[in-house]
Amino acid sequence: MATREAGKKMIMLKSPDGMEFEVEEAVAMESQTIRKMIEDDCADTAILIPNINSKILSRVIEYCNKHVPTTGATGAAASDTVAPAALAEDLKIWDAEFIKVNRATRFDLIQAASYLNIKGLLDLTSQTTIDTISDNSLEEIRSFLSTKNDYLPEEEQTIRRENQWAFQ
Amino acid sequence: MLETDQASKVSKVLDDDDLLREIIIRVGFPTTLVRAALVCKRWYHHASEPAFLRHFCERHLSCLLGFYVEDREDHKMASIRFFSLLNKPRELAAIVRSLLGYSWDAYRSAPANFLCSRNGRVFISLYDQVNRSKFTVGAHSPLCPERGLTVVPPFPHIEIQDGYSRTMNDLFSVDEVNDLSLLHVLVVSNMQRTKSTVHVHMWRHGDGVWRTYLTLDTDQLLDPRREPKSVLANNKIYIASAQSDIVVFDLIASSISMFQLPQGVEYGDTDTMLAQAQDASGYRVEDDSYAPLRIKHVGDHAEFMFLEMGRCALQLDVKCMQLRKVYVMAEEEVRLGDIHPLKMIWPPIFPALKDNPASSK
Repeated sequence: MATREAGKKMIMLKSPDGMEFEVEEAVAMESQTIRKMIEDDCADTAILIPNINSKILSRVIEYCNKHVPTTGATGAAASDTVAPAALAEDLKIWDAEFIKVNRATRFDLIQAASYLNIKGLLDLTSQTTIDTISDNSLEEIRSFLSTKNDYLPEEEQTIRRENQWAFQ
Repeated sequence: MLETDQASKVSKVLDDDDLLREIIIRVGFPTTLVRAALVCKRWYHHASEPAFLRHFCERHLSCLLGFYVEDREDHKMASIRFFSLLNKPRELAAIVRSLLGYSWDAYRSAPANFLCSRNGRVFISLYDQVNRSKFTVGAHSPLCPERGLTVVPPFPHIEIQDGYSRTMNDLFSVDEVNDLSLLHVLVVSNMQRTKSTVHVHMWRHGDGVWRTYLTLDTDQLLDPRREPKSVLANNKIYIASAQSDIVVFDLIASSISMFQLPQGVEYGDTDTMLAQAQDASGYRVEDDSYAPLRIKHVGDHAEFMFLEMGRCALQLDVKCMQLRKVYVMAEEEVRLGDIHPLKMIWPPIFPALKDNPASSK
């Protein structure tokens, strides 16, 4: 299914709560999951995105819009003309603003990024959780991430002893 | 209400095995991976899975912590200095502090040699002051000073029959769950130079002596070279031999095989190295000793190299194709000392737990 030369091909995305989003095909294809559907020709009318409500889906589209490599009239990527470093810096600032959301939204976004297979968005949304693991004591990590310690004290001791270098 | 809503969203993500793996694989540093594994048994189960560890390794490469410069003076150790190559990631700050603080003063002016660094350990041989053919090997753990110094017992003594000559003495460390293990390889040939015997001995941490691991006889003459250093990969030992051969000892099949370097390539006089490649076969890099650039060290999988140019040492990151200056000789330095890279410990050790959680949750 090739893109017509004049105008941009549009795709309709539907959330389970009934909202419809019309997006450029190139933007939708930032998601590897949607890309595969389009390439397999399963996306003639509208694509229903299960499990992702309209609030989260609109944020995901916002992200893809920003991150899609824009194409100029000649078809060459616009990033050829803008200095790549400046572009990357601009994206970084934008990302930092984008991810200023509450915890529930962030975890919803992780789930959406994983289902839709958008690597950059998954990197961005899981970074806070990774920082939590890097920067806190085990007790704090467990409490922040609502997980229960099911180790026997001696088991925990054995793992610590075998990998002492990781606990300097 | 809001609080429980948030917690349930967190659980929904972290209870999903695929999502949990996606998050843990992004922690980047082996140290953080070990901490993640300690959160609970389900996390441990994912973090310790061999396939997961392979992906983790591919994704983050091996972490080059820095390098040691070994300065020598009159065949004696002058100093061992550590230089960090990290851009100060906070996750490894404590490790770098402990590396910089580790003292090597005991070897100053001693007849000692920096043998190699393997999986976070540094091996130094120390020669007997009286009998120079005798030496002991100290295994240091600068990444984890609490482990202290392990002294490896003297190398196995092989009764050499009349007419046999000794040609090679080499040491390999083996990655094992139970602390340190070493392999020692000795090749002896008969005086007529028509046949050879390979003696492989193993020493496990805590043992008082070396034990015979393997003895191989061959009707071929093996003529191992001192340089390049041999390589142990996938239970096979690769040794440079004669002018252009690589001899392979297969430790599992107990066999010896030999293959030749590509036509036209020979071991030069100096500066040749064998290094482990991605497919665990031998990899060979050679430079022209007349060029102003000299290769000091090649990392496994040829992922990095250390080069000497003028009065500087350069590090080439082969994957990123980046070259950077990592050391400049001081005015009083006459020659650039040997460079020994130090990599992060990998993989972490994950002992079997008594009760494994069900794979779903």
